[in-house]
Amino acid sequence: MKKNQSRKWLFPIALASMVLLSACGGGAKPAAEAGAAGGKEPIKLGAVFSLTGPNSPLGVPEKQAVEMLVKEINGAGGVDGRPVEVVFEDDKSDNTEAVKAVKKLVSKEKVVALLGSSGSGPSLGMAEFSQAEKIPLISMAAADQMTNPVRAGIFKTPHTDVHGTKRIYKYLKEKGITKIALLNDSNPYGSGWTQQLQKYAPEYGITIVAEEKYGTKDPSMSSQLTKIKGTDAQALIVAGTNPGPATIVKEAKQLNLSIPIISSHGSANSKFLELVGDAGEGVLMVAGKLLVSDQIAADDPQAAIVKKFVDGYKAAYNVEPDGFAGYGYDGLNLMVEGLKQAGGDASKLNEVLEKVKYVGVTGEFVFSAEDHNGLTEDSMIMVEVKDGKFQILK
Amino acid sequence: MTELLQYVANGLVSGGIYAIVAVGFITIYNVSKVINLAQGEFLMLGGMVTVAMIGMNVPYALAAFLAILIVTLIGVLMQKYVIAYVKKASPISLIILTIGISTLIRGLASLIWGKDAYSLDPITSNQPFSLGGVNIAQQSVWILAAVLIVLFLLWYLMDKTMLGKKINACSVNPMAARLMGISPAKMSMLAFGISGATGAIAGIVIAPLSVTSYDIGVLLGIKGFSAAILGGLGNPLGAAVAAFILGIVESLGAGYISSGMKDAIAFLVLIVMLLVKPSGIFGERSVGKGGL
Repeated sequence: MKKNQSRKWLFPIALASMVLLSACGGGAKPAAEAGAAGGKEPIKLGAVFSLTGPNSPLGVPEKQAVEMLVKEINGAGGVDGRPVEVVFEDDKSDNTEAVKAVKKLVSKEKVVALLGSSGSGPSLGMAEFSQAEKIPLISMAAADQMTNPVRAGIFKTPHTDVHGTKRIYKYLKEKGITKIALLNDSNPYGSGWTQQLQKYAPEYGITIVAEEKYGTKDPSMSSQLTKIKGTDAQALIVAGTNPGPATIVKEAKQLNLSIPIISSHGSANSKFLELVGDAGEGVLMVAGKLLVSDQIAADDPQAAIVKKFVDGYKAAYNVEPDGFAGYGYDGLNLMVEGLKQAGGDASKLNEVLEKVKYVGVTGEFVFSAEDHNGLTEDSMIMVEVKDGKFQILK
Repeated sequence: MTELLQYVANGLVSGGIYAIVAVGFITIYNVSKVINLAQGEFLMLGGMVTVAMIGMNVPYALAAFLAILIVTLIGVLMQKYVIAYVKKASPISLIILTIGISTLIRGLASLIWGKDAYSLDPITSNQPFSLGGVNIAQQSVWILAAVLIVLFLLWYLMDKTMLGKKINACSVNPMAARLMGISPAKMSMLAFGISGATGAIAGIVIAPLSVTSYDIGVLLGIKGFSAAILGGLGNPLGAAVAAFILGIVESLGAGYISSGMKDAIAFLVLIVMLLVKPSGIFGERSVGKGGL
């Protein structure tokens, strides 16, 4: 009897899982052919992204944005009359794999410049190697130590926790809020934020009255929230990646915590909205402008490029681009801008990139000898969750 | 004072979750002397299958029911095709085997549903209610109700029914039980089924409070296992009490000492208690001991 029963059940389960599986498997085909821009020898660039493993939600959109941009650049005649070719490698979200990949790209593929990687660990590994080989690198890693201290030829495109911290504090100052509580993830991302929030608080006249932590996978943060509720904090800052912040927002509502919650850009995405549901109403967040691409003012210097990028990406992949796609897009654009200014001579890239000014989708980049990230806190905006959507705060 | 009560209330909810997991461990252990380290994965599957079903437009109640059924079945299949298959293996090798199964289930889950977290709507409304200044989520009441119902049903099954007597018989002396015409293999299969069902129930009731994802089973499995040990392995009542103690200690530790040290404090208390009383608070049920 048991046997029959299990047979009966096995089929629908197997079927269900196959349906689910096929829904998940996207096409990650090796691409990167040079465009048709003339018969001249292509400029070969290497890109290492995390296409598999835990960082793949970052790496896949980054690669897609770069692929899209390569087609566009070559369609418009390439750089200095030469087509651009990007050779992609997957670092499997692993530091060692990233170094292996970059070695292969440099020694075998003879690339002249590098993009990547998606995560901070692999990127730091790549930076070591590319610095030694004097190959310029533009990374999509968030960590501040990528470009702090500054190293020759190493650049990055994403915002850092320093920008986020300053932008939030600026907002708090406007609102006259001086006492805040922190509830940050105990992982490197959250601890980085805690450090910056503590460092810049005096500068903005802000006192941190409670500094709590949680583990990324903790099922409940209600005790930390109860403690914060007992303090005189006027706002709660939460820095973490999904799903932690969503759990906190939900539980804060259950505990009737009435102070505003401000979350970092680590959870500024549609997944956060999906996870919090209607408990998310009124949550504030610091984010890049790309998050609310349809609400950017027409006179914003970034308005044109954001629109072009979003439209192009949607047409190519049928999804809204996220911040990561933007990092990849800006990375290649910056590299190409540098190549153009160097007259296609890659050996000059290290020096030329330090003078590049470029309006990107992430922000307005102004690279200099002292700043290899080139962004300021003004490239970030404050948004509020309203009716289940992100709304720009004026 | 309100703050203290709020911490206790928070602790009771996490304690309740640990209790269901702990009882799942004990149900299997009592019959087969195997510590099923895939217990946390049963819980994860309960939540994830429900979310997936609701995604396919299956009504909430039916989705939850089917999820419990599916996980029960997975428990039974696991016993039939893996645990029972390796005859003559020592309990230790069987325990290692369950680690393998838990990794397999987690891997498959991440393949099927990805590594993202998912949310589940609360069973009733999202509005909390206040009890003397202590705020309680409606879902927390559901969690506690589920714990009590599961504990009661298990007690009833084990102590008041013939089936429970058979299971107990296998636990006391499998050879004698077999001579009486009871199949220890079948009872073990039943135990895995029960564990699957209780795990799935736990997974479903806790998902709305935070989120659920392919790997939530790991941490909850460890916490539940700690509670089972603390209560005295083999003693369901002890495990439940220990689970609530663990939850409350955690909550008070996070509130009054340091939230970064939350887990450390809970486990420190666990170590100290075990040093003082190695057999657990309520003492192991010493009949027919094998295993560890």
